[in-house]
Amino acid sequence: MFTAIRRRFSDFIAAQKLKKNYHRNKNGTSKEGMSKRVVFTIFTFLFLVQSFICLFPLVWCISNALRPNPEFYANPNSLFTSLHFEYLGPAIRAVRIATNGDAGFLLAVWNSFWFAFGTQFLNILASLFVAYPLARYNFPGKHFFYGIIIFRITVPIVGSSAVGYKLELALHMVNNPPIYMIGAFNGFDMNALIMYGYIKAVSKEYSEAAFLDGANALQVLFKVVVPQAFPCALALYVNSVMGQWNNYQAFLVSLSEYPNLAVATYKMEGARDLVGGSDHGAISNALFYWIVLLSGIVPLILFAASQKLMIKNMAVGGLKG
Amino acid sequence: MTNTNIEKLTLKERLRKRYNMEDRSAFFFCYAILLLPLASFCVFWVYVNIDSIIQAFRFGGEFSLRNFKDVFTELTNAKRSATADNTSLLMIEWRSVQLYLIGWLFAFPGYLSCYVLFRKCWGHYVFRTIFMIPNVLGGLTTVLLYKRMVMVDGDSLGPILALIDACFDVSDSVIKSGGLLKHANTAWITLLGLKFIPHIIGFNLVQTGAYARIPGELYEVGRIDGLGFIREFWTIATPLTWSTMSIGFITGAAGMLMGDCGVFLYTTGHYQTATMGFYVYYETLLLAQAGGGEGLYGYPAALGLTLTAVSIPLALGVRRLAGLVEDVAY
Repeated sequence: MFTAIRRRFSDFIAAQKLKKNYHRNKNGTSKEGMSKRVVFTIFTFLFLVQSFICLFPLVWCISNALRPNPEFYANPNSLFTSLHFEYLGPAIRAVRIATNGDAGFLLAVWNSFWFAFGTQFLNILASLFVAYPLARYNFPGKHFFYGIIIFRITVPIVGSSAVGYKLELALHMVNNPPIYMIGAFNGFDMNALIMYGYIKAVSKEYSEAAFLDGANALQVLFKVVVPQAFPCALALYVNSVMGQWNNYQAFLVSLSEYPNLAVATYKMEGARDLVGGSDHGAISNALFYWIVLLSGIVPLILFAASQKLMIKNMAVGGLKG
Repeated sequence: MTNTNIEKLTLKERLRKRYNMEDRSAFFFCYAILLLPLASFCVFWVYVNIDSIIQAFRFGGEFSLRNFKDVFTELTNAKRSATADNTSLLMIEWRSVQLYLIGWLFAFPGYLSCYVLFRKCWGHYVFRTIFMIPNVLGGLTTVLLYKRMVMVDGDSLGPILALIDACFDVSDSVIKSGGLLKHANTAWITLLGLKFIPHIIGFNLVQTGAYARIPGELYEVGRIDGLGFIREFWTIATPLTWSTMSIGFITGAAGMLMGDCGVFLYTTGHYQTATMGFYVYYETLLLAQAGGGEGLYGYPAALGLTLTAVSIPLALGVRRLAGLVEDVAY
């Protein structure tokens, strides 16, 4: 009997200890809770420094866009003293000069738009077409298709871009936006892997109910699975669009007759370097910073609008096999 | 049914016996939906890589090892192209590898800071929004701004250059040359600083998603057991999200030899800064500006094939290393 009482007593003491530990940790008064507070304090300081590093270029850019050349060269590292929006108009007009007359501002924005939104839409759609059957069906060859994704992600095949350009020439994709966009319909990539994980985690019950109600596979895909996977697909889409909005590389190589805003910005930078120093002449300081701002504004708006959605829906599992 | 009878069945009959009509229509749907992405993959990936191998072994329209000879000669000798400032390919490659290795060095501080943000430290929402800004603005915008900040513009120093000059007294030769990115002694180290300093502490969307999937009870258990914050990160969060972390390491290793850090925009490969990612892109750009043409693809294809041959064992090795840490299922 003594042993039983002793055991119950020691259990009680242990339970009290755990309870105390839990509450002390939760309130941050225990040694462990203290460690959290110390780490948080150190990191808050580091985050403040990092925030300054991340924000300063943007603030500096806005400041330089809003002040005239003489003020900038008098003190380049100070902030603006008065606001000068009059350089926005010339900056917009300067896009045509920067692109050697190939595109005005609106056309450059349109080129950025169709490239980022169009190609990425096709890419996400293709990723969905790959991810859905792999996540929901057992069919012969399933592992082979999944293996293609893993192979592409993990096994590096590098330096084939020159021959890729040869293929683009052969397929008349160079300076041919509609055909160029078709090349983006390639779903065996990281987006497919992320979407595969998402669709697998989503409940199958709705799809099964739809099948019982007589829906066919295509109807289930577009009327049940797509709405279910929409948050993930949208998060991936927005993320990809932000990444492609300022793509200048593809436009310099394959779409050189369709300059986008990024190419205009890049060429303006080159022109400033050629002229050099304070003798930039037509390419004033403020114009350049306005163009830089304009090229970054769409991704910033997209991010501000979709940050929560992206954080919630972008998770990727392990690579198996 | 005897074994002999099974052997006599044709493949078509066996499939018919094994799968019913409903199964077969589902398979048809799967293959149909995969057809277009697969065709695209075959054309833009499989064909391109096969053609790349063929082009690598062609010179003057005939089978030849000349392209590989060129590549191997330039491994240790000065590069033929003016873009790389007479640097050997090995040196260019070493710079790309440096980028990968430094990335590794900063990986765990990055994950820890991401975890601190995930555990909702003070101002976490504002911080994570701010930390995403350089990524959101995109390479072009941030690179052009950073570039201006370390250069001499007219008679004035950019803010970062002015700060460094105030702290370390930058030599006159660097100032006269036009700034940190226009002098061979400082350009590469400046590029490394500009690439990594804004990202040492950061916010990783995918990793945050992985942290969010860890069941809350596990943190509660850790709390009851008296785990401190760092030990909680190390013993609970890291093993449970290792599969996600390892993807980052593996994909990084896959692109190790092609590492780049905005060299095209910063220096166009001058001042001893060319990386392999830049070099391959620049070769393609020059080729495109020349309008393509037979005989021009051999050298870049041979270079690509050589890099692939080196990359594959490296990437598989990193994958193996990442696999040594067992995944924790939950």
